[in-house]
Amino acid sequence: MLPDIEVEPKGTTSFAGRGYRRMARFLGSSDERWELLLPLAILVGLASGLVAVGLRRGVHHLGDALLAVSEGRLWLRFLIPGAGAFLGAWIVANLFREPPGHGVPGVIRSVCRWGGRLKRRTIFSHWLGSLVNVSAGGSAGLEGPIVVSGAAIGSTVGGLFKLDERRRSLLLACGVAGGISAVFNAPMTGALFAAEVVLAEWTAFSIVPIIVSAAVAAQLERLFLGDHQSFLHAPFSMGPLDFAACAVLGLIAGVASLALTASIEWVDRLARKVPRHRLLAPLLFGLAVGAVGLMAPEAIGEGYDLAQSAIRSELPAGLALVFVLLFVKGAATSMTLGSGAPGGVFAPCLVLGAVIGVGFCRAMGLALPEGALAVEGSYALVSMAGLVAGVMHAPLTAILLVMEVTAGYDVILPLMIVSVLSLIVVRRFGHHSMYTRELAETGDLLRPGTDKRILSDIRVSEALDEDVLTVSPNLTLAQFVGVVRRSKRNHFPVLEADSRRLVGMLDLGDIREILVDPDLAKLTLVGTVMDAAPASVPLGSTLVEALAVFEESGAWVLPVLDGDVYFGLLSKSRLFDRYRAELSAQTDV
Amino acid sequence: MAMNPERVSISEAAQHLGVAPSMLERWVRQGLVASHHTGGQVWFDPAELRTWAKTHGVQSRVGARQKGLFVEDFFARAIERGAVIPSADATSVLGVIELATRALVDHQVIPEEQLTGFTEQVIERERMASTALGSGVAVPHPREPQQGLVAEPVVVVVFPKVPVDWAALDGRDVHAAFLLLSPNAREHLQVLSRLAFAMRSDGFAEWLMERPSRAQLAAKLRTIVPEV
Repeated sequence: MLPDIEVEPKGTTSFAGRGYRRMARFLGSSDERWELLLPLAILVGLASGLVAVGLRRGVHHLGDALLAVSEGRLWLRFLIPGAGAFLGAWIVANLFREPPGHGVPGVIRSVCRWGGRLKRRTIFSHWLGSLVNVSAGGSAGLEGPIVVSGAAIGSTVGGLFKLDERRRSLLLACGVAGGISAVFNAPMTGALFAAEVVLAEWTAFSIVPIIVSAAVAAQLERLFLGDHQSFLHAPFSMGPLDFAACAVLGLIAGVASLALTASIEWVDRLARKVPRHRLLAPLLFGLAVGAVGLMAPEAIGEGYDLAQSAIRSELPAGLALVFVLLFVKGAATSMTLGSGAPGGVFAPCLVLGAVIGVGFCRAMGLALPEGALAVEGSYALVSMAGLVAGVMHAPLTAILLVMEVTAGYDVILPLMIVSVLSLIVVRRFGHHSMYTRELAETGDLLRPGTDKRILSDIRVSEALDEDVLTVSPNLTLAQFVGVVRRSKRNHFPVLEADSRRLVGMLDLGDIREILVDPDLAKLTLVGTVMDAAPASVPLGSTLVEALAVFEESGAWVLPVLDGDVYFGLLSKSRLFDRYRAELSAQTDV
Repeated sequence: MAMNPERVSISEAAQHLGVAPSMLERWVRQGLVASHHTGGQVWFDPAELRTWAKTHGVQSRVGARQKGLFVEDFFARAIERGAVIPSADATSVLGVIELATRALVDHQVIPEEQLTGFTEQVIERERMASTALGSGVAVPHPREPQQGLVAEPVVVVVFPKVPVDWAALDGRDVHAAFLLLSPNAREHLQVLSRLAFAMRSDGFAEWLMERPSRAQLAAKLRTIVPEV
């Protein structure tokens, strides 16, 4: 069944919408022309870039302020993460009335199900919630909330200009690209993330506006912060021995991705058992994160300082220390994200990946002579890509991200080895990432142009047969012959005379023998020879559900019921016609 | 070369998936379905094939609806499961029906407590329209098939001592009444069409006046088999 969606009232063409159309006419192009989307993509890129920069800066300043307040007061440092998680969750759930969590599945669902519609208030909900939560020490990233805000900006701009669903979804993806691009100063990464994870569409129509938006957002970010690199690192090079080591690291990154995902889901199940879990679970687990923070302050919060030290090979020496860091960061991340406190999974992936890389390099160093491997910072970088590829099932984003933040192609081969092997390990255990699993389970993961998307867009009421004759169960087959003469069909719904309740289906093929025998036809009633328990579909189902019933029952036609009252007849041939029409409409060429 | 029982051939797999073998061959060629090659032969792992069918929404056709198979002595068997009442003391349609349904209880085809309800249904059907077939034969039956009551069709034949007025279109009184009881519409249709076929064969309706026993009737019906 299709969800009810918010549709703007008809006939209230906005000023912006009229302007857009007028410009389209002036340029002599129809709405089909997508060049007109480019100015909008620039607009969305600017706005989403601002949102991203604002959140990074906000967390920076608020985090510093909270640190100053709690200076020397241990009890405050213990309490602040819990309070932040609680307040963040309250902002999302109660102030903005949005579903909890990192919000990215909601963005993908919007593309799959709601034609790219998102509520306007979504621009602020996760943004504000994660600002409070992550500043206070919640172990989560800002990229997820930035993706949500950017997407909502794109959707809102699309709504303002009264764009159709496809263009609206595209602007939504532009917002996502802009946000990610600005947060990492990495335009290609932003564009690929939007295409790979959110839109799942690779055409010039979609890629060009996304890249424009990403480029604009990155430029805006440079205006504010200068052309900095997100992760400063010493120059390094990797040799053949490193490539072999990277193969092992790729497998480890895959296992680590699985472990992180499982651990977050485990806390999620635990958190749901807490009474009033949407607010109390973030509070309780936030306090636990606070306790972790007392012992290892670098393990909580966004954690990029930790990643930065790992990349610059500046982590204190010792293998045990790395394992402790890995464990506490993993635990803090699982507790923050699993409890439903607002924040994303991207930053924790990068931080954990960096620490894993360092740990791996140090462990290998025990067996190999000094200087045989590249510096541990380089392993931190490639391992980051391994975690992004494994947790988000986004290998292209992972590879591009590390290439862009290190500003070079030097490590492209090890990056690919690690990302691809990590993805292979993860795919052994399932085809869905943390972003898409929930959608796949509810049947909402409907990528454009796929069979399921096409079938789920058509309702059975849109595929009904015309000229269907119905019969009463009390008709004799001799009388029924008259009906057959007027009909071109082989299947007849049998209805109770007054209520039009469906009591059975009559298949001409089943009764041919009786029909040609006038004596038998006279003494046989329709009600005796009909199929009294025919398969049927409820009105309001989509062709997905109808097709499942067709396949299970082996029927050629299915009566469509409104309650138990007959509404119409759906045939396989009509289903095929509609499928073809929808397929042609939804795909180019 | 003996096939490993765990290996499924192209033709078996195609049958299982409900597609043409050439279609499955093309899928193998295009790399759409996981397959194995040994010594030039293509085979599938059943577990892999099932997983593939599931993830790709291809339904296995095994167990899909099948049309009833043709059984030669279908009608004769239905009579052997029922009863023949050779000379019935009934002077009305209602009387004949009640005798016939009572016989179903006596032969333990239906339980005693269902008798009244079932008889009602047969009479109700008779009120809608006469079930007389002409040539002195009638076929009383309930309007709906009786899935809960019987698993296979059952026929009770009643020969009234004196032919009964059944409001037949040809005006002839009924000397043989076949009470039909079927679990579903399909089997009801089969019994009916067998009876119709027998009626069309020369002298069957007249032969019924001799009030044959159950064994005689079944034996006679086995000789009147439609050529297929």
